[in-house]
Amino acid sequence: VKVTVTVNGSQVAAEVADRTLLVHFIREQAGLTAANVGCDTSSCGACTVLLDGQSVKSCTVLAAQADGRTVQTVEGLASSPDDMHPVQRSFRAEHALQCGFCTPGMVMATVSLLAENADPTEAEVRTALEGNLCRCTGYHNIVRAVLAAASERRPG
Amino acid sequence: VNYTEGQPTFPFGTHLALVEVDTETGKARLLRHVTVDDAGTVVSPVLAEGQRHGGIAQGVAQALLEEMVYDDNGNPLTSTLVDYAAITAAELPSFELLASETPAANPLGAKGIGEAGTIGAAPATQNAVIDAVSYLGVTHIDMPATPERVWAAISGARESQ
Repeated sequence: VKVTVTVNGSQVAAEVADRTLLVHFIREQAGLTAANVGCDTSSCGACTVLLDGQSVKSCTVLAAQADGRTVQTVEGLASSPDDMHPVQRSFRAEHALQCGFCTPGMVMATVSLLAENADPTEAEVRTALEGNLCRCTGYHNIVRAVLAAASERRPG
Repeated sequence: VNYTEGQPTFPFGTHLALVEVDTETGKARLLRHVTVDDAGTVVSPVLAEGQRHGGIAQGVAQALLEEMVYDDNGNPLTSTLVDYAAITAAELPSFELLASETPAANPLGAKGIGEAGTIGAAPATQNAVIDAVSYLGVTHIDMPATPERVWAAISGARESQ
């Protein structure tokens, strides 16, 4: 099947097998490898990307379903290391990662959460990140980073 | 380079877990986790705290959720993250870390930290679950203290009274 997806602002078109998953399209056709395949069972969230602005687990979406739509990955958040997205900055400032495997998904899930709820409570952050597993951090600093990013974005 | 350690190092610490148990469903929930983990002289507080956070979460997870299950023929039944209940952010509180630095007898004064959280958190959490339902006559629950096991322990204790 012919699939055309706008990935981080660039059109990527490819002829792929019908069963191709969006995460494999992103990694192999678009060449963007930040979104990780952690489990293949939509349990871990390491493959989380935004599809038309909504966070999805890209291992549970067919590439064909994304045809004609817009995908944003963590690579599309910042134009340069000096111009990081507030969520990326807060993840770095709060030491919200150790091995980093879950981080691309965590960051995109956070971007999605803050778009829906600009001022979440700690409990809301924890519930929102329930679909993203982290084995290293105990989530402590991730939650802190999300709350810090939210407060940075708040006016005043 | 030849370095001989004068004496072995041993980190130590204390973990306190506050757990709430729903006696109708057997669901145990960790409300607070307070720890002291002494790793000797800490070179990087940020990294050391990160190690403790991750260790605590894994220890709590071992007490409440995570288990490799095998059938009678030795086949693993928990072979994906669908079957294996890895702990999530929603099942944990933020952790309360207290400092203690007792330098070890080596040039850096350093001791281990990576496993300290795991070692302390599992028994603290498990014992807190048992303590929470001990007034009902429960004296033991196997790890992990899943809702099914906690509920069965409560029911068993009530029947035998």
